[in-house]
Amino acid sequence: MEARAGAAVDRARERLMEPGLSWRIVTDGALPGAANMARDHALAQALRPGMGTVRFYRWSPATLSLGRNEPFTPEYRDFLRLHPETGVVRRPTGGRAVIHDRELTYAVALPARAWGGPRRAYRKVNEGLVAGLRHLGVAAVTAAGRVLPPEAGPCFLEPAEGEVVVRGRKLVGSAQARIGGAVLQHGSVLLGSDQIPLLGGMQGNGTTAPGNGDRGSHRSAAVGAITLAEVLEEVPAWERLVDAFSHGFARVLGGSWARGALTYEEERLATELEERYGSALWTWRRTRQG
Amino acid sequence: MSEVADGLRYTAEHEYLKETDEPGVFYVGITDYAQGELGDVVYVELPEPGDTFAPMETFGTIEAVKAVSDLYCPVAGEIVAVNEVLDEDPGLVNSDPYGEGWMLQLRVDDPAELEMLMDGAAYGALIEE
Repeated sequence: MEARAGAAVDRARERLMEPGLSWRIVTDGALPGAANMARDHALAQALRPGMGTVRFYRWSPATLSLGRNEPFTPEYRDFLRLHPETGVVRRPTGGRAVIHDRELTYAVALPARAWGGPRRAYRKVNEGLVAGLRHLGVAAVTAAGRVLPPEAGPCFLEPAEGEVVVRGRKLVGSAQARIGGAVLQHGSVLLGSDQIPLLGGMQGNGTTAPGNGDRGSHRSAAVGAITLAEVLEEVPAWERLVDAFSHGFARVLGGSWARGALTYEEERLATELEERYGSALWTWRRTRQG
Repeated sequence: MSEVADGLRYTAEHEYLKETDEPGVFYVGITDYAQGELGDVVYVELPEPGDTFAPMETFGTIEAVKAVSDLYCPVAGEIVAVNEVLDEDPGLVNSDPYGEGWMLQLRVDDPAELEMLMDGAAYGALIEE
């Protein structure tokens, strides 16, 4: 009885801590890596008190993204040599490498103090993703996982604590950065992306390039990742995916929700930041020699 | 319950300054509360000895379970040494934040600036909020 009363008090306290933010949903098209990272960063840097933003986007060309502190390894270099059509960018967030191709990418910018700090925000955002996936009929859960350093290899090799998994395999890879008074969390929901060139030894043979064929996703499954193409009979259309994840986030994160676009200030900041994210100095800041 | 060590100076960014044996030189690191909020630290990026920083200028980054945060220099000064052991064992920031988990030794330009920072009691009250 006492335990139940305690749990009720905890739930009431948690409700009181929820900031009831005013959320904006931004949907972008497919952009190059530097533009995508600059826009995510700008959303966090220009965040106003009491506000939050969720952005959905894609990538063109397919792009290898590296974690903020992840070494650029000879394996990644070899992958890019084999797939010269693939872009490369270093993210502002932590974590490890991802090939962004057939995926839905989300970014959430919110006040760093919301829900008591970045770690709790991480859990809440991941719960929002799970709610969105369940809306699509996908039995997703968050993983127990273990702590992985930046040198641990590609992102989809195995789930870290709190990440979204289906059948024990990783469907969404996410990472976070604290930017001023805001937290930026972004991540990839694999629709059919082939992470094999990064997961399977990186040797590649030209047949595993991002975007090559629609059965590549099944090969991802063998090494710890899973895609929506494997889970659902048909991958839903982009708009339906955006609606489902918007619904999931709104349900879990609370507050008020409206669709919108970047402000003039955010666009200006993003243009400024794009230079940084496109620079060699930033991209190759940690390089491991073979 | 987070430990707040006595005799140190603290910032609102959850960093501390602690005296070394050399006058005017202070250890800089993150507090026990900060390491607890971050979770398991997997990487710490630090500057080079000889680098100088203005107050609140970013001197490095810390990464914990995929979350990256900037580290801010609490007061103006010159880096005398960095804790290179953190390269191999960043978990020291979690296990011993006020001891083996120090990040910098900073020669403070103006020790009077330290008076502007919080003492243990004020910092303890901040994290209780």
